[in-house]
Amino acid sequence: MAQLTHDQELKDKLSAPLAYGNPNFHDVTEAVSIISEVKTHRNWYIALAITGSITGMMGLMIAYLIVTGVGVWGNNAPVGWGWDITNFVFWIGIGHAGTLISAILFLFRQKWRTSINRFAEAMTLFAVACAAIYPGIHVGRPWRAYWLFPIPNEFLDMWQNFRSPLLWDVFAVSTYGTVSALFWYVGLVPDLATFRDRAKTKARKLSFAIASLGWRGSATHWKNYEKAYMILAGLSTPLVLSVHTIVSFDFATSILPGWHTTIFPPYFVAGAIFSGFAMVVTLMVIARWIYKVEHLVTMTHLENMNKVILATGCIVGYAYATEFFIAWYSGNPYESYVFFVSRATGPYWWAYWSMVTCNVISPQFFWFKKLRTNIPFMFVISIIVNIGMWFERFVIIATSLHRDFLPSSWGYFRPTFVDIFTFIGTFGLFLTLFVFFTRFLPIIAIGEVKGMMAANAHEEHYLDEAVAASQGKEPVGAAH
Amino acid sequence: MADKTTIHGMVGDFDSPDQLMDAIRAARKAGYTKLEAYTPFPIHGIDDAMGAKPSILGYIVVCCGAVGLTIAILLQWWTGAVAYPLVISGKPMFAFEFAIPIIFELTVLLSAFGAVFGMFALNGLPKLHHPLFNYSGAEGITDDRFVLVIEAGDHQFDAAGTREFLLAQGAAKTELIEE
Amino acid sequence: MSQSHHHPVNTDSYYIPDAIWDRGRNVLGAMFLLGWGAALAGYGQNHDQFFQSYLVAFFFAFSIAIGATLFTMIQHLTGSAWSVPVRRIMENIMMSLPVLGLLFIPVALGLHSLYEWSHPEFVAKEVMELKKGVYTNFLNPKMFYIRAVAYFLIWSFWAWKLYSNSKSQDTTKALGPTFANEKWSAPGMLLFFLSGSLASFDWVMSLNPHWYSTMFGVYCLAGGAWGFFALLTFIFLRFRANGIMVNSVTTEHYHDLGKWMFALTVFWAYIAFSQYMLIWYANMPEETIFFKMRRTGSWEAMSGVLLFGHFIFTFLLLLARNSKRTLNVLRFATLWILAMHYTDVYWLVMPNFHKAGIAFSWVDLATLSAVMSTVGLAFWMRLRKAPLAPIGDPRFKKGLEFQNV
Repeated sequence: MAQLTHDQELKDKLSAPLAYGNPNFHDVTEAVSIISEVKTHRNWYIALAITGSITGMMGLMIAYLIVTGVGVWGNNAPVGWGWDITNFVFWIGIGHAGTLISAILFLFRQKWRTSINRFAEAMTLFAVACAAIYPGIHVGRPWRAYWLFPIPNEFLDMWQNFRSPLLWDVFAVSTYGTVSALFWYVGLVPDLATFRDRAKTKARKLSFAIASLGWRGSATHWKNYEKAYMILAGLSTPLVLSVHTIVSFDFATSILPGWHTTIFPPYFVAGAIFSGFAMVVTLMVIARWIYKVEHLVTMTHLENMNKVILATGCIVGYAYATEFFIAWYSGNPYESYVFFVSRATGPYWWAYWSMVTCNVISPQFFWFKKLRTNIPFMFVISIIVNIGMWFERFVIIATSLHRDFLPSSWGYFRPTFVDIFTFIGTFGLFLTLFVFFTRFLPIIAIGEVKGMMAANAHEEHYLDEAVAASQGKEPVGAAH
Repeated sequence: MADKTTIHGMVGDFDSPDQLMDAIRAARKAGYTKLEAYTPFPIHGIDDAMGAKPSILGYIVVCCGAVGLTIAILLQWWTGAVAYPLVISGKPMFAFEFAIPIIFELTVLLSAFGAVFGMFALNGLPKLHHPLFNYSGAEGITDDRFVLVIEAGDHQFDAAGTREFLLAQGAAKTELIEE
Repeated sequence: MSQSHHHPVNTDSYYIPDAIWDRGRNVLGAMFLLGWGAALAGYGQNHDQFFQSYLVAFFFAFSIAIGATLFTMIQHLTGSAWSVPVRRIMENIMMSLPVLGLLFIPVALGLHSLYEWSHPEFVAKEVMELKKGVYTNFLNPKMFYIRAVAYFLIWSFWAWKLYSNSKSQDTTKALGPTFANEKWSAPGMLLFFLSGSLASFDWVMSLNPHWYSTMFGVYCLAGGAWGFFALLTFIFLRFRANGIMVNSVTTEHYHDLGKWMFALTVFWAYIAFSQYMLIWYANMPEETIFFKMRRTGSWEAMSGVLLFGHFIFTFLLLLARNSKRTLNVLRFATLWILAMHYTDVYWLVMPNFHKAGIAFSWVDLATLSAVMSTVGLAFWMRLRKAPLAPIGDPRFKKGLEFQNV
């Protein structure tokens, strides 16, 4: 018996288990579908009331902004970009983990991505929705926001300036939102068919029948579907890199010290993935507990996400270090000033050191298995990381702008209550969308989890053989 | 009994993917050609077993991508260098250096449209009705059942014989379904 | 029940036949003698040219070895199975690092032919106050030597640790070394990324002591990883032509190697474009000088070759699934990529010395032959000391039977 447990431990170490117990295909359907099929719980309405009122507060703030003007924010010379762009970059970054999980980990055949990808993709969409608010309201006259797109218009005989990185951003973010929504929907179709086939009421049956487009799961369907999924993953991978790359171009094409540095593109991408994974951990820890899917979203999933957080945290640390080193190595007084004075010791020192503590130091705890498999601990760290990543964007924007080249143009950014409540409001929107998502849609990719289980059945014998061989024994069932 | 012209085919309902795969191989060996399998998730190797041709989706996507690429270049060149030329921060009216990001984005956007809508078109979706939904156990297909349908159009099809054949392959249930 | 009945019986031996080994040794030995002989003659003719050509050859070999190390560690960290049959050769390329430590000696000796900052009279002319501190504390021969020794000590130790752990499994089939290598790889990635970037700053970026780019380290490592995958694939294609491991490394594995070459083609282009575009857009003289030099005279043609050859052509060549599964296409691609990676390193180094335009020299080829044959002979010696694949790895069997979806 002890031998058996020991062998199982070794097998788990070689290939960490992705499902607890041994659920069969039907159990998976049941566990995920039931979430949306049971009668709406009172707590759900309470949750919706809370998140909905926060969203409503954001609506009020935006209405006030539109009626009064952008002056209600703390933005002013010299800090012309304040919390609006900080929050925009923050939310866009959060979204990146969803695409990473659905596309990049798919291409790398990382099986643990199933059972968290649906959730993470939803997060992408909701985060992009929150991010998209900011450029829309920052243009000053939001009713003219469609001028961002190259549509001929009757008022001005002119065209968009394609030399501006801000316009690249419009294309990048709208492409990203569209492709993510399509990718998400394609993944949903077979599961919506499952919901359709299980529906008890007419209304439910009809709505899921329409949403699943008549999906039958024939071999022909799956053939084209898998090809489409592979292609979308192949397209989304460079796409997700491009989005934060282009966001980084907003800063790095300028000649402002602290903004203009060539490592910005990959550094922004790594930071985005870092913050996004932290957000997935925060939300997943709560969701798997509320919806009782701990057997599908296991400790292995959480631990792997924490490893990604550690890895991307180190990349971000590498980028900080490189920036500092090159600022010194260049011998350029402006570069040195912005890093060694404006950031590390100037009026924003507290923001800078909060950022370093949260982003570089806090993930280092995940070197220890005990800590990265401890749920309350990872929950706290995941929130700290997101605080750190918010500070990163704030530090980049505020420290580089607040001391202009002329000391007479120095200033200090303070957010107004509109800044603060709008930002809090975006969390309301983000969570409201989640509250709806978890109530009505399959929060775990049912079909994909089953496919992964079928593949795992074939994998067992490799593990048995490896463990037996390490003990110098003939493997059980070696005749196979 | 329904008239043969209105019969869609014979359903064999299996418990596991491996049984279904064996049944497909056996059916092809026995000379059946008009087969379709229905499963809750994609099964590795099923296309080979069914003798299906690879999907042509890739070609559709490449064409869409090329259209996106062309549009992006023409859009940026025409608006910047022809329709509304204006010197901005000393940059050329058109240059690939600044045009690449949008070229990339539009190529990806149109390719993704090609992949998604192309896939739906190849699969004949959306579709209002299909004979498979006449099968009494159809809802099992999106849960945990693995179904093989031998269609009535198959020259070897014969309701009784085909039923025998499917049962011999270990089908837990068989059923004749109508158009 | 399982898919294994689709596979032919694997009769591969994981040892290199003596006749083939002898032939390889003879070829590499001849290259070694000819290469070093010619390189020494080149040294006699023109010291500066010798050291410059030698730096290109050295950095080419070094970037591939560090690429191999990074990817060996990535395989351990992700517990990937597909790569296990080809991992021993990865590890073997990684083990070039200690040899490269010896091959660094000529670079160290040629300091004055290569680096302006090694001349006190150049440093004395410096006008920027802050840059003077950089020379005192960082860019001077003493610190340069200390750092190089530190890099090679760290790299050699890590490479040896990963390699000997892997080899110890060959007979014992123990699981312990697999877990140990996973543990060594995590901090190893961090350490190699940092030291690899710093080494690129030291050896190549500082050729122009006033130019700087934070992306430069990533650029060099990305190119090196690309070259490494081409070399790895090339070696296995040569093995295949000689009947070695033909059942173990199948079209499925080549397909994955091809995907990696493709992915790194795109990644390099992404890094190169970002670096170029940001500098082009900001248009600050202290930065644009780098590209200005590479658009002077015939260097502009070489920049074009990199744009079309390093990226566009390779991208199109490897885009289709079929081309990654057609071994003749892959064979061409590996040689093409190695040639392009060499061109890239040449383009990084040489414009600093030949400002008017490209000036090829026969010493370029002599030093390349000398460096690659030295590294190659050491590789060849190790080839016979251990099986050609990590046959005791717990994921080895799964790796053999792996198929692309």
